[in-house]
Amino acid sequence: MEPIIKLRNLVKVYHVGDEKLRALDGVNLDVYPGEFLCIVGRSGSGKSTLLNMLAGLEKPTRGAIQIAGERLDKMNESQLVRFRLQHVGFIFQQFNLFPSLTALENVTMPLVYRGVAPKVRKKKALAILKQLGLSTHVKHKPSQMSGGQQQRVGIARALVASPEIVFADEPTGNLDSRTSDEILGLIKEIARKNGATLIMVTHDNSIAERADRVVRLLDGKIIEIIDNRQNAQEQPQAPQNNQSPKEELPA
Amino acid sequence: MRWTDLLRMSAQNLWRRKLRTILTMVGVMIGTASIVVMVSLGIGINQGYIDSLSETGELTRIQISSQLYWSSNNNAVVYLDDETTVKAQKLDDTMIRKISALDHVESVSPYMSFYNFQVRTGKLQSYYGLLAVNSSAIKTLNFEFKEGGGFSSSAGETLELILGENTLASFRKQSSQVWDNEAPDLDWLNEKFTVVLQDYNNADSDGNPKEYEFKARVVGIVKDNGGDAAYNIYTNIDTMKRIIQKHKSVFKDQNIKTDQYEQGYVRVDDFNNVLDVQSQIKELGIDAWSYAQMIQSMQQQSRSLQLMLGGIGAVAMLVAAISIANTMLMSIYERTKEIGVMKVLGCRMSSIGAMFLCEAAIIGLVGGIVGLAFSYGIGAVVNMVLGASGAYSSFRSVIPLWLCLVGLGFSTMVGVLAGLYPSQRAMRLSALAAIRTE
Ligand SMILES: Nc1ncnc2c1ncn2[C@@H]1O[C@H](COP(=O)(O)OP(=O)(O)O)[C@@H](O)[C@H]1O
Ligand SMILES: [Mg+2]
Repeated sequence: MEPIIKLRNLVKVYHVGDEKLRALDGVNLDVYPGEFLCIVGRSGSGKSTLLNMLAGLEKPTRGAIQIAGERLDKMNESQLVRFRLQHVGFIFQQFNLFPSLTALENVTMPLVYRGVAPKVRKKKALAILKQLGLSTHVKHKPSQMSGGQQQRVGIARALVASPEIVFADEPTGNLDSRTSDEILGLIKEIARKNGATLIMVTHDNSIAERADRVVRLLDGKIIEIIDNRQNAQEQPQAPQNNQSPKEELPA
Repeated sequence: MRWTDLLRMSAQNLWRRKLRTILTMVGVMIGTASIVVMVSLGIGINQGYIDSLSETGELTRIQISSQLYWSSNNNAVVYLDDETTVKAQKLDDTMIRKISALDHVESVSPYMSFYNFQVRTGKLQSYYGLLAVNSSAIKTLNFEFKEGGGFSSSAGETLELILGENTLASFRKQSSQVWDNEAPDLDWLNEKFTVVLQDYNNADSDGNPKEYEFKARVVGIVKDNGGDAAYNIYTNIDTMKRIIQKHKSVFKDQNIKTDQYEQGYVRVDDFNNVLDVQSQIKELGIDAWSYAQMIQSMQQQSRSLQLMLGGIGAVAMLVAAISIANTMLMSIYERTKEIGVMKVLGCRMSSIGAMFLCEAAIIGLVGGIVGLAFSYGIGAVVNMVLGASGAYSSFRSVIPLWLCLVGLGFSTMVGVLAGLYPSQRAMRLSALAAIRTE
């Protein structure tokens, strides 16, 4: 199978005063369609930098990024926006909901940007909010919801346009561990249902265990790639089947 | 992005910051109001006054008079402007021909006024004097006949009268003290009339003037079309001259001159040529007066008012533009993170730019609408004050639909122009702003 994401010798150098800081130092990585990939590592190891670059929010200093057949490192700002519009969903650690809009309105925004008709987008947004167990909170403003509920709105917003690739930077970093578990289950479930590739930064080991593969960064370099599926293949039952009952608990 | 969504989002963003939005609109309001009122005054003069005058033909008419008719002062002069003068000339047939020969002159009608003539029919008498004119006056004075028509060519010694519609009510019994606005019910064209010369130089011992009667009949009645034409009783100048010649002894004390005219009217082909013709007539040594000249001086007066309003408007609009730009930049600064999130979620840069441009345009448009409402208010006050001062209702504020549209277009354009730079800034903001934690 052809990888959906290819990174070749990716380097990102930050200039802080006179100092040069290599946030990424020659990263090579292939990610396959439908995969759930976790990026782990100590704080400051370059996880966010890598993810931002994949989402086209930052330009690499050197190296190539190819996603869905397109070279992100060669795109200008407005091409990157178009790229995200066509391929990417993004889940923020700080939720970043629009505070003046209701949950429903927040979720419809990506569809508004895509020019989807009001009726269609409302239907889609309501459907995904229902999937995330938020049917009763459709008219709530972010300030009227708990952190977990807000992040579920954030997830709904990231996934409503059925993107091929979903990025999430510590999506459960601001949540307690039980809520984290629920949230993670939901992201995984919907991403899998949509056949989306899911790339998540986390430093929560229990989350990383549930990924297909785990990439460990240290000082901007990949020091380890763990493939959980190989372990799974040794067992007769696929891991996703084991996990699915758990995912249905919340909501 | 759909443009309906774009508009809705822009409006929502403005609504979220109501107070600031309204304060920003104030500048646009003042600017629009000043400019619209300025233009409306200019239009008001043209429409309210010039139009009504041009309907009656007054605007292409010049009134001429000679200073030599009543005085024999040989030093009399005509002022061409404040400094230049020419010697005053007689208004005689030669002069009439000279004036007729000027470019753009359509017709010239000299007239003589006879204030000590009384027009009578039966026991009724009018207090209007007589204005003796030639038959070209029908054209020069723009007569529209309600009944009858112009002078006939073979009147003999009967004085033919053309009555202005508004003089009909002046016929009443000599003894009557009641002022009655109703015209008497007469068959005007078939009634017998007399014209009576009252000679006060030969009054009897009681002070009653000696009276000489001349036969007369009405040949036409001139409709009131808003001009002066309907406020006179006219008679044929040629018949009048013949009568004066024939009854020299009667007229010798009346100081009536038959070799020249006191005054006259000149009809010019177009309003724009009036001032030119008027000054040419003055150069011939004949005094000339026209509504066109009056309007010109009125326009000059209103121009200074317009200039002031225009100045206020321009400054207000400039300040408005700066304050719109400032408001937009402030709001972009506050919404940096929001804009970043929008970009991450796939909102096109052009949509972001359009959204901010739209916000600026809405400020301009709504400010313009409120400003326009103010303009109507100011216009009404101006009309009331100037109307009350009775200044010939010359200054008027008129706001036609096209001025509304131009005003709104202009205020919206100011908004758009002021929003150009901020919207560029918003477009260029980094998507990374969404990720940063403050
Ligand atoms: N905009 C920036 N300017 C300078 N240094 C940066 C910038 N962003 C990140 N860094 C540095 O790059 C390194 C990697 O950061 P980051 O990718 O955020 O780490 P992580 O997400 O793994 O905690 C850190 O040392 C951080 O200080
Ligand atoms: Mg990070």
